[in-house]
Amino acid sequence: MPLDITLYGIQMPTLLPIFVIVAILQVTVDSIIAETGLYRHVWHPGLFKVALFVCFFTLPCLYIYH
Amino acid sequence: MKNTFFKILRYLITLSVVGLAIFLGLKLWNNYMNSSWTRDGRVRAEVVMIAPDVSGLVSDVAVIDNQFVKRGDLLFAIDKVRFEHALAQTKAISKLRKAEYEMKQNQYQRRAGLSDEVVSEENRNDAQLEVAVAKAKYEETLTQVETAELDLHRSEIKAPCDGWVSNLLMRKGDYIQRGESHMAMIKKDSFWVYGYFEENKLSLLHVGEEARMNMLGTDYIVKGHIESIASGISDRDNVTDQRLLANVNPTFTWVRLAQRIPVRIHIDNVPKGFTLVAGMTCSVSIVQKKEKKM
Repeated sequence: MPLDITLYGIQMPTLLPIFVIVAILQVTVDSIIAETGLYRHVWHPGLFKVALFVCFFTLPCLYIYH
Repeated sequence: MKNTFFKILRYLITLSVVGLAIFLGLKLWNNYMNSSWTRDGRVRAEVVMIAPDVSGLVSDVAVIDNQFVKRGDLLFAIDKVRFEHALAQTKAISKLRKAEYEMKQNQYQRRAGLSDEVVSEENRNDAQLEVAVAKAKYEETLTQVETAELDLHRSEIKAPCDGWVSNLLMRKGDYIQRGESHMAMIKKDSFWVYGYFEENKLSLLHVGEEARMNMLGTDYIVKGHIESIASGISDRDNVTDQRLLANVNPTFTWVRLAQRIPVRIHIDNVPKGFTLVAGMTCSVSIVQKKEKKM
């Protein structure tokens, strides 16, 4: 994957669009977990959500900066 | 029993995800901060500043803006009349000196042939030295003729190398001084990339390693290799004063940013359909040799 991505003539680090995509993914996953009631098995939902987001975000990013 | 199991499971799930997040976060931070790439790369080229060797009025501009010229092609010419006059004048002086020299030579030969009763010793010696003086004066004028010819020749300014004329602002009729640059020429095949790498990344770079340049706003990848690394940059906290004494900046910040060191990258391969222009921005990533082996 490239270091930079170009959208309509503007160049930005690829991290930026990844962040946006991951944010959307996070909202979806969050609502699914809340629907199924899986949060009952989680000790601290707030902390869990943040940690989940970090995992989702870092995995594609590590592919770029390997 | 079942209740405690679920309690432990709750902690376990949360803490394992948190642990994974911390691990991945640190890894990404490390890779981002310490891998050999920079977004601050510039395409550069050798620029020749064309200046005439003689002063005068511009009588002809033979090129147009952004034109490609070959080595030896006429770029512009300075009005020749003055130099032609100067050449004619020096030639005339040269003739005069030559005649004088010949006259002195004849004089000496005549006096040398006469006996001591007719010509004194002193007179003969003087005549001999006068020949030497006249000869030196004549030779002086010969170099003056050569200089005048050189001036005339240099009134036509020719391209010193293959390349492109850039930002041509000179017009016919301008008066330009000797040594004053009025035309910039970008030398052909002299393009290189300066990647400005943070100082902490410098130890990751080695001369000869492959570099990939992604040009801003395009998908083109220009390939090259590290040619050299700058040996020094200016110390921004110590600007020498007028009397050459140290002038150390007394303020020092808590948060420091890594300075950037220019790394010169030789361009090996430019993709088809892409035109390199000096001044373009690119991001540079270095393919490290160790990685390649793995």
